[in-house]
Amino acid sequence: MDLVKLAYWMYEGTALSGIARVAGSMPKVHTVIHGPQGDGYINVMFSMLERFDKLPPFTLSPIGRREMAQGSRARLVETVRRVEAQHQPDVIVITPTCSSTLLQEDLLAVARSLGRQTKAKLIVPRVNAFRDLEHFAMDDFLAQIVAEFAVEQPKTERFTVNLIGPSYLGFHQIHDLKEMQTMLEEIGIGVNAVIPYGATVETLRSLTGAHLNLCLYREYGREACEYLRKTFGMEYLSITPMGIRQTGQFLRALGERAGIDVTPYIRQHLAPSGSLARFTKSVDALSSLFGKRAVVFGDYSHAVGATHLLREIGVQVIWAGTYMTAWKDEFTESVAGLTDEAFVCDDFQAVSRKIRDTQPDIVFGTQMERHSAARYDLPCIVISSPAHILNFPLFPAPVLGYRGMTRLLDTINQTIKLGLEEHLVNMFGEDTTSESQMETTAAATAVSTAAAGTAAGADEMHWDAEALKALKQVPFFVRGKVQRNTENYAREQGCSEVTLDVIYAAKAYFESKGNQGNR
Amino acid sequence: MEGIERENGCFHTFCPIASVAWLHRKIKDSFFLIVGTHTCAHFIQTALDVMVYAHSRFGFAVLEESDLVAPSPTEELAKVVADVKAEWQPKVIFLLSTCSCDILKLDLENASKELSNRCGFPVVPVSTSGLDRTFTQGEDAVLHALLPFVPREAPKAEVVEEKKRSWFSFGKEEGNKATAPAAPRRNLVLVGAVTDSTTQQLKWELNQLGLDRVDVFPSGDMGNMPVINEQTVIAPLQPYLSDTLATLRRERGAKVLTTLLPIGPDGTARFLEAICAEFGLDASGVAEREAQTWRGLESQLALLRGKRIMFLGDNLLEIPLARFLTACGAEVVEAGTPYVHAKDLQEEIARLREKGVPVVESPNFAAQRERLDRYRPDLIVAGLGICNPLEAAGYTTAWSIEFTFAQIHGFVNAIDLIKLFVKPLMKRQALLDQGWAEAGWIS
Repeated sequence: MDLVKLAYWMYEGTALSGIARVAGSMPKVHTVIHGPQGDGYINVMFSMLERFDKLPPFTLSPIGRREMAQGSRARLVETVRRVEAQHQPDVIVITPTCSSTLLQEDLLAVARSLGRQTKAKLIVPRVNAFRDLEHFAMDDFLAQIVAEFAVEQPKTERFTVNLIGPSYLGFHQIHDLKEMQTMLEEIGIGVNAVIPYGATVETLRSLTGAHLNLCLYREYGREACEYLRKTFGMEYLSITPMGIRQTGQFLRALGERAGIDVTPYIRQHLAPSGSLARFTKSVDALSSLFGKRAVVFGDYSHAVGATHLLREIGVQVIWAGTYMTAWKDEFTESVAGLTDEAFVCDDFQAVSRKIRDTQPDIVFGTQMERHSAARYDLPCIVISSPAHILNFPLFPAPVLGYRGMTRLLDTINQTIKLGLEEHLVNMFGEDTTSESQMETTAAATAVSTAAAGTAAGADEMHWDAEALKALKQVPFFVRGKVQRNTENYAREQGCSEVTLDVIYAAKAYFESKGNQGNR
Repeated sequence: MEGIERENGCFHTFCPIASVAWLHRKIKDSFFLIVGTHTCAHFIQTALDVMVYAHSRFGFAVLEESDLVAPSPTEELAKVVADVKAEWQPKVIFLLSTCSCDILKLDLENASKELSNRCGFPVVPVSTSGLDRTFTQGEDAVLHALLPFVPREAPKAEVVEEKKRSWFSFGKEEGNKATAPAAPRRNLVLVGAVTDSTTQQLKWELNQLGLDRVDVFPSGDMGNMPVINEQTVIAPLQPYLSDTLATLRRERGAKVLTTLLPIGPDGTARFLEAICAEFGLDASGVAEREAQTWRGLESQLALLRGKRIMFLGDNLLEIPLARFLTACGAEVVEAGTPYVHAKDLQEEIARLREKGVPVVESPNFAAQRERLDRYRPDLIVAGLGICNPLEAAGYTTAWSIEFTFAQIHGFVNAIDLIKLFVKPLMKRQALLDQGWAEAGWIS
């Protein structure tokens, strides 16, 4: 077994981030994080990436030197009491972190004895925060809270489903949720409950009123579905509706259970007049997409979904991979026949090298692959977590369903070269000036100006050695402007030579002037 | 210390391992290896907004469950170090410890020695556990770990010759005395990991004042660290380097200047004057340079005068920044900061006391929120995790982390510094003018 392991980046978050995604997605649920100071970074994820307008519902019960020496129980009890008084939540989740797991303190015992005095229900996730990763922890914790609150309910009159999966910090999951709600409404199926996003204790109690559970993502939610099946006899579907075939499969399975004919809905979206077909079959897409070589890497659901989708529009997938290594066989089977190779691996460097060696026309991956692709000068589309603030768009940008597919096609369209453009480039070569060329040009200008020195005409400004060094420190894309501005300033001031003195004075002058406007 | 309130709970700050985000760029040919858990790795990539630099000279030796019973981390780390060596060919590896190393009581000191011997280059242990330290103190820990690579004496060709001579003239004392070197020159070392252009600017200011040689620690190159000994005058550039400064005082006998930090025209002027006083230089030009810099800031100053500004406490730069703001004519209603090193910052704190600025060490965030309602500040300087909610509540905020990454030292950068405060205020005004007042939350 591998012991200490070298990692540059993590594809999956930790158990702590998984529990926080579930608990943080639910109103009136507050999480007390039992860990060292740095573990409070969960707050930053919610307030920055999800642009929270409220303080994220997480409070750190910090472990410092004192807690290590004297035990952390007193501090934890104090924190839980304070959280209850300040926020009056329905549920307080007390979670360990990697570090605090090592201290092996019995959080359950604290919850049990303290729970008698609090109005809030205290829940300790049954994870090993040190061993488990994000999705496993989400899966298990979601099942745990469902088991805690779900009770037998009469079925709703109309055929309804529960949507299981949407949560904060998921990849476009809140947009997917809206898309799913619209789609279900269009085919005449009601939504009974959504978990964990927006779910209250009341929502959890009402889960069993639905006729069917829909587990939207392979990464988590199945354990909760399994629990509801075993305990309450609720059936579930576990298909991520991404791409034409998987969406069709999803709809048909759903229609069968609900006794609804979904064929008109599918036909309407795949009809020649629909946007999907108009794009896929257009002459422009033929030349710009057909036969292009792509690679795909991401979590399970999105990597499988993107592989399907690409094949469905005529793009060749050289290899498709996931970092969810525990599901290697299942993944390989899911993409069999769609790609030359299934590549299951959680080492960022290995994925990066594979992209370099493949040299595809386009990369579909996580933010990490976006960086790798940039290094090799390849276009990339992000289709999966880990994500960046860029992947939390303000305008609805679903991935699931037919509209999600349309949206992805638009993104592809904006990323690659269009049909005629590509023809021309192939015939005549690139006409744009690359960054490195620009850099060379800018540097050459500066150097030649300096070399021209005193012998040059009245318009030439001499830069002394130190000043030239400072100029070279300016990023190349603004260097030319800085050089021009500085020289103009020097002339205005009646200087014959640019020295550091002049550079700094010019900088102060322009910076202060620049702020007067509407910056 | 008198005049400093102390609370218990500044927890909205980053962990010290976040220092790698800029230090690996400052110290060339280095590799930063963080020995920690998955959480450490996840924190760093989140803190850097999922990889500002995807392919960078830092990585994680992630502890797995089976390591908990390993007798020594050396063998496990050796494999990781070998991988790093193959991929990056570093001249030095910094081995950063985390909370989990502390909890597991991993002996990284000994492991580092053993690994240095095997690698043929230094593997340097750095204590960056969040149990003892806060955010920017990670930089102090790294600089402190670099001190063994700082020479006490400058290597001199003559010294080698002298040795030879003394070997051959063994026993002839007179000959030795005759070649004894002249009294060694005092040297100035600026201490703090700031950008090359910032040090270039500070050097230039000092050159203008007549000091030709100015050294900088850390140097970007491991093999070219400045000489520090009893003749050295240390001028700190950052307020959070107390361990490094204490060791330089104690082990090198260097003189550490206690003055204002060169942040803002006021701080820079006092900083330069203190150096001039130490080296017997004429500092009369400094006042004019300061006045000239203030004049350059005039249009920005107009926007700051009378504004109420509150620091919630994050990156330990709060004290000098609050001092600069009061000099700008702003009213600092509270300077919250995770930690105050009273000795190194005594001049800074004295300034704040003169102006009656409340300093709160390790502030309690819940209590601060109540004070916020009372102060109604025009601007709040706070950590990344709380700015968006504060903005939504109608406050105007500045990210404290911007001050960590921006170039804010010296006269030349004073304009960049002041803009970090003025920009959010101008943005608020722009939004107000453009119709956002109707929403009600901005007024």
